[in-house]
Amino acid sequence: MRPCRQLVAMLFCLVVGGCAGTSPDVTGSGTQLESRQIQTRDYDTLDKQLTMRSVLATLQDLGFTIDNADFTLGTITGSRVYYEDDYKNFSMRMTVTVRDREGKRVSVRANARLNDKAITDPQTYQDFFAALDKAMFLTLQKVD
Amino acid sequence: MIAFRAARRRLQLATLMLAGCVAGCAGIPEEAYRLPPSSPGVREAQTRTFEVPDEASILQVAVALMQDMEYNFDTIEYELGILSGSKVVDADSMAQQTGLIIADIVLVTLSVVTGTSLGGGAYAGADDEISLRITLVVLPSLENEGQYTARITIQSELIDKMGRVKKVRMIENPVVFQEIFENLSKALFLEGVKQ
Repeated sequence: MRPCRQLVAMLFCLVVGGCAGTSPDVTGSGTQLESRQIQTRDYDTLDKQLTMRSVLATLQDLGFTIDNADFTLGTITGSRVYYEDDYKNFSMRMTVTVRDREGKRVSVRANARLNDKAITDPQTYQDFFAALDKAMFLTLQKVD
Repeated sequence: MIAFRAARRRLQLATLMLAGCVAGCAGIPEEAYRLPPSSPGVREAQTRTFEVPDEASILQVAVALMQDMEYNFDTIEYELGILSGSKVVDADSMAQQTGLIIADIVLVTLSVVTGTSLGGGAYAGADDEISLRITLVVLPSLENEGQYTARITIQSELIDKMGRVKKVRMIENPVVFQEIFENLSKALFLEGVKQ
């Protein structure tokens, strides 16, 4: 009887503690090297301007609308929505940064959040970079 | 035996609570994480090529067109040819609103007559506003010099009377894009931009 009551109490604490943090996640989880690698890809085919053009085409192709962009800083932020059912909607917000690297290389980094959570699922970034690879190729071939 | 049954019931309750909380915390479907590309048909509908003397003239006309469509600008990045705007419009027609108010009156009357709560609130659960976000990107064509490609993406959010987001979707109806591009073409003509 007693151990069972303790078990119920422990489960309750675990669940409540796990679901409802006491302070907002201001600093995030701190990007680990592994997730930074998942989010980043280097290209040596196009310059920054054409890479940003390809990023824009990719985001629009994936259904994003653009929230913010700055060519000088090389940032583009967009949002896309996913509808599952009434009152069960999800919004993905992605920021892509394009930076000149040494030589003729350009580095592209994407980080995304889905509703209130940072996306750590590598598949999301793989989907994005697969579409970007295609857009970069088309830009290189001068295809609109 | 009774003690054993009570303990088992408590364990079942705890398992149910755990399942409920886990479902509440991690209720995001796998598809929400995926990024499928648009179909070629949608891409084609969202894109139109214009032959204009320079990028500035088409962007200036596009700015005026978005204002004509009653959008407010959220962001403009000239170097990348980005114009993004949003607006909130009324979702319900007056007839729909009147019908729902009548439905609520009927529900309240029935509740009084039968003495039971029938769970009214049809009007409160009705659609209230549609929030629209539009992005127009105008870039020089890579294929043909002197041409500019314009691509539009639009999202809508349906918000009910309680301020809750009911439905979200990307607009993919080709007629919408066709109308915007026709208006852009007309505006370019009216502004005297050679096409």
